[in-house]
Amino acid sequence: MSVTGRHLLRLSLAAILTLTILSGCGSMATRKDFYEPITTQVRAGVYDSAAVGLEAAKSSGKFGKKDRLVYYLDAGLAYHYAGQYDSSNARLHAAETAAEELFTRSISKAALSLVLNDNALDYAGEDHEILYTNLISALNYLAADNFEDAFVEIRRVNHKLEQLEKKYADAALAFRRGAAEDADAVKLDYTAKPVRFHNSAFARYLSMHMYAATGKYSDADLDQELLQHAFSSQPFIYDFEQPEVIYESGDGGVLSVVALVGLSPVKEALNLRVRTDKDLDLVQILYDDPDMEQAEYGHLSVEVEEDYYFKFSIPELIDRLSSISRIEVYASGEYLGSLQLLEDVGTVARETFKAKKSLIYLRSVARAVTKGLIAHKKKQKSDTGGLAGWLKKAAIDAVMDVIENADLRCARLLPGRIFVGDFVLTPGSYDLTVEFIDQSGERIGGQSFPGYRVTKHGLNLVEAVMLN
Amino acid sequence: MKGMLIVLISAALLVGCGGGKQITRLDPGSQTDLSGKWNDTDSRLVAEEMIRDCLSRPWLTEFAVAKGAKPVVVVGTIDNLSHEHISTETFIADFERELINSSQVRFIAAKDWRAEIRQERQEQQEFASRETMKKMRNELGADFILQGAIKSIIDQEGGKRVVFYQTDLELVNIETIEKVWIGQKKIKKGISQGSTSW
Repeated sequence: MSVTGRHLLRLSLAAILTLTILSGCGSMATRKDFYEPITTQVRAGVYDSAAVGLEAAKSSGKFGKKDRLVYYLDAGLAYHYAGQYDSSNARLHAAETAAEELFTRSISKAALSLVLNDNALDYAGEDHEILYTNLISALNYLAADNFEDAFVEIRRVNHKLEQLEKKYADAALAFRRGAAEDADAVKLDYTAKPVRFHNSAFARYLSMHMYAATGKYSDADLDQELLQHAFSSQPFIYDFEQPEVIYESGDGGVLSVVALVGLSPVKEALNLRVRTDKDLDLVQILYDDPDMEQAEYGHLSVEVEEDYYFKFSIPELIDRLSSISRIEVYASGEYLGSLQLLEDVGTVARETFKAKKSLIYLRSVARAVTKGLIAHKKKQKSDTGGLAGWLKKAAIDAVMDVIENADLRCARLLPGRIFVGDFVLTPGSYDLTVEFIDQSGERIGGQSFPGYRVTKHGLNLVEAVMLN
Repeated sequence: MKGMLIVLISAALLVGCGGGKQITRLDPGSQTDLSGKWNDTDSRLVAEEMIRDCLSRPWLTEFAVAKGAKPVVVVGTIDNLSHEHISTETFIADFERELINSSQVRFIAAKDWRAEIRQERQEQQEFASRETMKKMRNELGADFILQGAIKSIIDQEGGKRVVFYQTDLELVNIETIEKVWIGQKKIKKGISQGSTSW
């Protein structure tokens, strides 16, 4: 094809179309920009403001009904960090209820999202989000010395972990039923990948201390064994040294310090767009992923006989770096020791996400092909020739791009790592300090607990939070 | 384009449809539940049935024959060992009500209430008139204590869930620590998940 003035104009319009696509317009995408100031606030430790920010976002409609679980999760977390435990529990319980209700429905209706995209469905949450909902709720109850309800939360975590594998087997069945009922859907089969997380060390750590605090030492012994088993049986989750735990000590009192550090991974989109243009004899390829600063664009000038546009958009879990490398504990000025890593929420998130990932990828590819073929038919009908015809085809591509986006909804305020430390102290009152140290050895923050009373019996649990 | 829009709108409508939550009590004597979780109806029903069973057993008449008096009972701890947040205070109150209303036993206030009453009596020694002042060391000692726990088992598949609650109670002779009655009540609830409000 010879390069003419009209050809150049179309090339320019193709470039404009590409730029429009790059700008990421579209109401079918996950809304997350409003989280930036909220995330900054939690990183800075201004938790009350973060909770206020989330409530304001809810009031202004930034969380739609289909996104309600995200609100409940993050608001529950923000209130927990702010020490507003009742408000936190109210939202975390709502999150748990919503997740239970939405999970199966989201999977059975998944076939329907072959035409739209996953953002159009109710967000049913990721397994790690639901598990930590219970664990944070347990911490809320422990802050109020309510062991009975804290135990309920631990039991729920353990039950959910036992059910994880079955959950995805059920989900695969529900998906197949949903797909069978949906005559328009591309026929897909989904076989759930095994979930290799069935025992949370953090859940065991909490219940071990709770049992010991209520004098049930045989139950505490059992939980300690289960904690050890969590490490030995799941080395892909716990690929670090098991922390030393103490829950009983002669005449002394055991001070237990839990630190929630950094922020858990979030979902980012990996996009691949392929466009063929028979008027320009052009194949355009546009690729961007969360690790790239700029999208990669390439084109081939080859003879093309059909107009196609395919967009593949899939979510990836991307780590958020934490500057904290060490956490030190002091009692009335005396150094007690450093906390040790007990659970990496990011690793748990990646492992549990695997079970759902295959379904997400399968659907994304099927959806891209379905939409690409629909667009192709539409473009054939709209191809009236000339610039007007070309513009109509470009508009169809733009619509297809706008309605295909990865579902990036997730809890954005979950902690990234959980550290613990148990120290034996003579019962009495102490001014406790938890210091957060970065890689260069600089203290970047701390939390004080003046006049903390360590008792021989009962639970002496201190929780420090630094999400930076 | 028109055809595609119809497909998109139809799909959006289908996606937007949410079924209502349907709760089914599987036990006879059908009750209405809102959330499917343990509620005041369960608490009341369990208390009524278990106390009825407890008071129909031989220990009651055996005690009356041996001592020539009604037994004195106190409700001790009922642990919540279930997967749900259950108000055991409400549950204990239901047991206390059923025991008192039965008129077959004498009943004393539970541990948490006694401290306040004792404080009141202590203050009477200093501030009340001699005629109205209540005597110290004149409390009724309980013969039996009722203790127990609520447990749950969850079975689920897809969107359906069955929760099986089991309440175990024991009546123990405080002096001899002899268990004179063991009762068990089971409740099974089927829950079909619907949509949450927003």
